[in-house]
Amino acid sequence: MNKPHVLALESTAIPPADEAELRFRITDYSYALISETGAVAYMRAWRSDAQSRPLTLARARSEAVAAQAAAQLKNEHALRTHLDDAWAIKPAGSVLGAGTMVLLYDDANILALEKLAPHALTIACFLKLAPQLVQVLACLHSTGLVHRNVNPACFFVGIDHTAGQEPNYRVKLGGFGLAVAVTPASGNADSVAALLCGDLPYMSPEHSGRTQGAIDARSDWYSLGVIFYRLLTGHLPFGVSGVDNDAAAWAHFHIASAPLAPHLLSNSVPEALSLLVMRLLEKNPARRYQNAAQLLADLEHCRHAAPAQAAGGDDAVMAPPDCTPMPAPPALQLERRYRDCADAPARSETASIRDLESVIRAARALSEELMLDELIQTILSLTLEYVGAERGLLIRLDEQIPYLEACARTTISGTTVDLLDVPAAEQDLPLAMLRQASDRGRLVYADVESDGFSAICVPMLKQGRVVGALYLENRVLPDAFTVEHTQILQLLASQAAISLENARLYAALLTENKQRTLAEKALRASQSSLVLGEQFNHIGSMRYLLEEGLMFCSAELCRIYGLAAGKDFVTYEEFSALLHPDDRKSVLETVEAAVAVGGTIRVEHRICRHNGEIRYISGIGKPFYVDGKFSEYVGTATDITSRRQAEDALRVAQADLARVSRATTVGQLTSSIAHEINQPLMSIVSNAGASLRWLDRDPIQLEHARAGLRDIVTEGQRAGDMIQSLQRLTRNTEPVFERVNLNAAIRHILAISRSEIERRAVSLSLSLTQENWYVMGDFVQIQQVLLNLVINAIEAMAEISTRPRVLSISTAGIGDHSIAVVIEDTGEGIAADAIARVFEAFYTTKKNGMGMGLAICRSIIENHRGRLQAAARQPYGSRFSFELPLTP
Amino acid sequence: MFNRAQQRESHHLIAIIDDEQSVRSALVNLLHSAGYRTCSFASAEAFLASDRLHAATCAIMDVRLKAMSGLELKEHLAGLQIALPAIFISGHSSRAEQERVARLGAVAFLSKPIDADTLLNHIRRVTLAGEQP
Repeated sequence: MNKPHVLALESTAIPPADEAELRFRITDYSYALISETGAVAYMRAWRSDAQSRPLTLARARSEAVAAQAAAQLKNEHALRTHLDDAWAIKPAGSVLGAGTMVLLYDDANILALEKLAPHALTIACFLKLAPQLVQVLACLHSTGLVHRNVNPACFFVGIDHTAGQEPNYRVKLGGFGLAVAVTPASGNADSVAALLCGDLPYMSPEHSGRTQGAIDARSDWYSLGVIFYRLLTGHLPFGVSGVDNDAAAWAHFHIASAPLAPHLLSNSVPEALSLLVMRLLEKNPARRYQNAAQLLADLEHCRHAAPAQAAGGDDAVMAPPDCTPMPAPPALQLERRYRDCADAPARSETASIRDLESVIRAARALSEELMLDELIQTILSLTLEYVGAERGLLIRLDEQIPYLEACARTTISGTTVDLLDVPAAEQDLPLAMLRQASDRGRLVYADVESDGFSAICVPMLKQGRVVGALYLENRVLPDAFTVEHTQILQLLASQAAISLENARLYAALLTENKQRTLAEKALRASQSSLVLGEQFNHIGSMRYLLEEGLMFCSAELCRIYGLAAGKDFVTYEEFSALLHPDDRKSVLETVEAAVAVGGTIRVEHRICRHNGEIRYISGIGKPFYVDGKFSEYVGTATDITSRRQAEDALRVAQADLARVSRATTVGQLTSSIAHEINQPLMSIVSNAGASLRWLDRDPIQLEHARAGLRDIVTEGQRAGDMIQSLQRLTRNTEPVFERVNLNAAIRHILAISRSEIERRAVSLSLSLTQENWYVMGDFVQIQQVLLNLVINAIEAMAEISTRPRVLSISTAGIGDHSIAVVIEDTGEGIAADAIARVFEAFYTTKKNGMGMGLAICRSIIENHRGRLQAAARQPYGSRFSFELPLTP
Repeated sequence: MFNRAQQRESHHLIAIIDDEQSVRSALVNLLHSAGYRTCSFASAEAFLASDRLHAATCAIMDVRLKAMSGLELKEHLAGLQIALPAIFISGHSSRAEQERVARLGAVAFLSKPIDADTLLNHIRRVTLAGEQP
């Protein structure tokens, strides 16, 4: 509710031409809106040249209601003979167009009451104006017409100022579009619908058509009552601000709702005046004023009864009677002056309900605003306007520290709101007052007459907690705030607190959304780098859901597996089917064993794509815990086919090289081998010849023949073994890892090299212990190493003639885990600087050597998880040794 | 024919010198089946030290022996003025060895594995020649 005003044309500016709502030049005139009633708009029109007098005209308020407006204006034009310039604005002429009608009036320098008095008037001002409103309406009624659409837009007021005297009001009635002659017999000729086109807040119960009585002059008095109510209180008797266009709701208000008496709503209204208004607003026309005379008499009575100061002059302002200011206290007593709202007198139940309604409506407006800045503006504008405050602050309490969120000021052009975010200081508002309000959680009212200072501080409560405060002050008009402001303000403040919280949450949500959008963008970017990375490295990633038995595959894994387009997962069965048949059992066993204990899966296997292509895959899977529950595996599968192919090629090359090397080594033993095979053959042929002869003897010598044949069998076996050993050394076979008895391997080698050793006059010193110890390895490869070392030893001693040529071979356990083989010779030895290089490929000191033998030996021993070493033997010769891990 | 030969030739003693036991026993068996008496030795030194040096009609010796070789044995015998007909057998003989065997006036030089009939024919030839005045 705004503070009461006096009527003054000066304070109600007619919009200048360049700000006119409508401005067009059909007839060289510029237009500005004066008022709107029903379908009709009243406008000020003037020529651009300054000499001509301005006109007032009426036309349709919009294209949409052009026909309706034309009907109403025709009605007014037809009634023009009944109208008199003394009390009515009478059409001076008309312009009739296609479907449109414009009425012209001579009157100028007038404003509609609607524009002139948007707020409550002071009682003095009202008492001066009201009789004139009654009189002009009575003049109309005296012509036998009923207006039927009485509202503030129909009254046009001019104010004549004479120096030193009170201003003189000139009031005229207009807007006769719905006016008709009263014909009591016929009642309402017009349809209710047409009448409802008038201003709903001002229509009478009879306008609804739902009451017994017809519309007559008393209906106009009812409408005037609504106007009086508004002029006195600043409010309509029903509803909030009249923006609601629900005709049924308004009809209900007028027929059934009892308005609150003005003096209860605004304590500046004298009770007598209040009762006068209430009589005008009687639902039953028979209980209203029946004629103007009685009404005017009562108004006159009120005027005399009003306090002298109220009647004294237009400048007088009604002070809230019960807000008795305290004597101006010293500054130290400042806090004591802030009275709690609780001290304010109790208000009537009905007033609370009515205010509650307006609070609910304001609350709705607040709750509909989600943008924080706009909301703050709305809150401040609403409250400032509502209490007519001059300055307002919105304060946020953050950890009990007050921050100014916004500062609003009422200026001539309206309310301006500045958004701030600064700590509140004493110069902004009395902080003691804010403390008091926030500590008590109740409104604090201050009124310091000496400073011309009046302020309200309303705490904003959210769930019982003070989260901020509204501070409103008026330094121009002390006692600006009335008691009834306070409760509404408290309710508004609570709603504002909730709305502010909502708006802050909404702002946070927007920020979060923005961050999420950014995060999503970053995620998409990182996902595409992941996809690219997977493509470059041939690494696919997967998630395997245990319960569902589904493996979800990344794009690259789909490609590696060669899945059909659009399929991005495989079931356990499909995965099993993908596996190469030779690998399937071991992979599934590994996977199932790992899943059973939640262990890490590491497998290398082949897959067969649907097109039959075979790929080598290296897979790793780790258990992944979701909500502390082990429910899936995540991992990668790398396509290692090309790596594996390269490895295979290398292995083949190495195997070829090793085989060639073996063949070369064996070749060095040709004569020895020939000798070893010839001996049994020699024995066989001799025994065979003998046996034949024993059989030819007479008598036949069976015993001798049998003995010879027995030797043949033995020697044949011996030759066969020798051949087999040779074949194993030279045949191209895949290495087979098995349990190997090192001593047996050594004996095999000695079998084929024995005659060479003998031929070279080398004596052999064997020390083979640990007969039952085994290593894991390939028999042929281990023999190859032994053969190489033995032949090297023999050759190293070839030129030695001054000392015994001794080849010693020994085996010995090293702890429980390894076995060592040592091969020593008494040959030339290896130069100290050559020891480091003997295992290098192509390094040789032999005339015909390839330099590959020892290099291959070392790689073989390393493949067997062992070490091959060379050293000088004391006092001469060399010493080669290797260790291999034992196997049970 | 064998029967007659056996009976007729059984008094001849053939010496066998080879370091491989299986070869020695096989040759012993073969010569026994042909009706000869035999004596066998694992080395040249063992033969030279034996009392059969002068009793033997013929000697079959491996070219390669552990210490003294077959050829050295033959030369040694020549030095001792013992004209013992010798048949050399060798598993892997070089051309130089063959020439040396030829110079030493050996009965035959046979490669292992020998042909049993060839060996027996050479022995019969030696024994028959020895019987002729």
